[in-house]
Amino acid sequence: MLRLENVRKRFGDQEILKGIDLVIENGEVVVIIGPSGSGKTTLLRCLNFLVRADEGNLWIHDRKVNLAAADRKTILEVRRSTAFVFQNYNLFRNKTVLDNVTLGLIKGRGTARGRAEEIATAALEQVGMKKFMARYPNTLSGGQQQRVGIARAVALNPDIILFDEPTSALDPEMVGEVLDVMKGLAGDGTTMLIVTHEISFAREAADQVIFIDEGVVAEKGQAEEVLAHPREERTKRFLRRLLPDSAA
Amino acid sequence: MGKLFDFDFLLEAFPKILRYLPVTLEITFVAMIIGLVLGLGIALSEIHNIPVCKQLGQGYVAFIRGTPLMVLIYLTYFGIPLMLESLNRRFGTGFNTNAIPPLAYAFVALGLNDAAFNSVAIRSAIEAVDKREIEAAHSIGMTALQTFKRVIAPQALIIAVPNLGNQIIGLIKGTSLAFTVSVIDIMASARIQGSRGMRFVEVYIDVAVIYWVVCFLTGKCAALIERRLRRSELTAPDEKTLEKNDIYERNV
Repeated sequence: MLRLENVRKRFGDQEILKGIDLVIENGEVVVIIGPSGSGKTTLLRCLNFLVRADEGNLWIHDRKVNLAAADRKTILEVRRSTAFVFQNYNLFRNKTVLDNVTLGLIKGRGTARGRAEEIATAALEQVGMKKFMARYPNTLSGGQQQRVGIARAVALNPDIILFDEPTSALDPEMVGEVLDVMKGLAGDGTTMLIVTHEISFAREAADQVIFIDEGVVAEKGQAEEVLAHPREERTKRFLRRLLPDSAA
Repeated sequence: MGKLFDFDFLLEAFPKILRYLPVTLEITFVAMIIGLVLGLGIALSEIHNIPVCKQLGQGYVAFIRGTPLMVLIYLTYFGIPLMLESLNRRFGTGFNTNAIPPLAYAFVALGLNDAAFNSVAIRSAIEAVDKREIEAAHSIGMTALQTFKRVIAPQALIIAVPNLGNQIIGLIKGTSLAFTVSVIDIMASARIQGSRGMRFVEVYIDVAVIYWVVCFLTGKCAALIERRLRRSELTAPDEKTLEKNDIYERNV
């Protein structure tokens, strides 16, 4: 189980996160939705210390980590038990697909190269990118790059994978291949926290949906419940804008 | 009346001048190493905002940029013995300032000069590396040092190579001022040969040819190194091959 408590972050005089609480059970897929600028991405980044929160705690492995004051060693430990999939893939352009995936295992986890390559190959197989192993990222399409990005995260076998709008930078025809991979992971019982605008994906794959608006959790619950029968007025408005033809 | 231009003299002097090419190359090499190491240090202290070091580095770069190389060479030539002498007087150390070989001044002066310009090239190259890749490295649990070694440095190098290549060419040409502190390099040797026969255009043509060839080869080397390093960006196949290869396998 992973738990976030009272996460707060401000940039200058703008308060982006106003005290977010969140519980994710092992094997659960949690989707965060919400208008742009509502703080979804910042929340993910705080969890992984890519952004330093002003306040808040993270419980991971029954261990309490202060998001605002953790030291370098703790940060490294948290990062080594989580993984991040970025909106713009953020692959290492000077490394082959295989090296992109093994780097974290070898350097971050201290896995021996041979073993790391086995794990990486399996992860690439899982996302359908095994035959592109020797290629460099800039020779791949966006969808392929993102699948490598997912393999890089999966290979680390983390407690949770954080997805930051993994399909937002993709051409529409490539969204499907990435979402399919993610559905596969969900089916395998991978714990995932996903920021996305793909409502139909959320409906299909998510256990829990959280609607964040203006830095607070405005509504949360079972995916079907929140998406089909939102209680809050602002959730309804948001979903109507996203799905103009739905009854919600 | 004698000849206005003596081509035979030019040919005769050439090998005599060329004999001192190793000295020119030695100054270049040692100054380059000093310049790269110090330049990297200054660049890193600026990027990581290390107090004191950063300010010192910035002041240093500003000073060097605004000082002619010749002045810098004279400053080291006369300044270093002065400093050592003052240490001798204050602490009773026994530095013999007369024992310092002239080459050492050339190393120091050219190295210090090179470091300032290198630091600018290195800093901009490091800053040009995509911040998102650095985040990715952090996200997979790499330490700052690992990230620098595996992600930042290899990419910054590619960006820096053309600039550093130009910098080395500037350095090679800069060594021609070393004769002012009585180093015998190809330039000094040309002057000696010239005075001997009272024919100067001939020997300076010789020395110009040598500098030109060395600089030309250095430029070629830099281009070659850059191409080798960039191989990851040159292997992009066209769209068609991409589509042909991409038979997406579903795992669900």
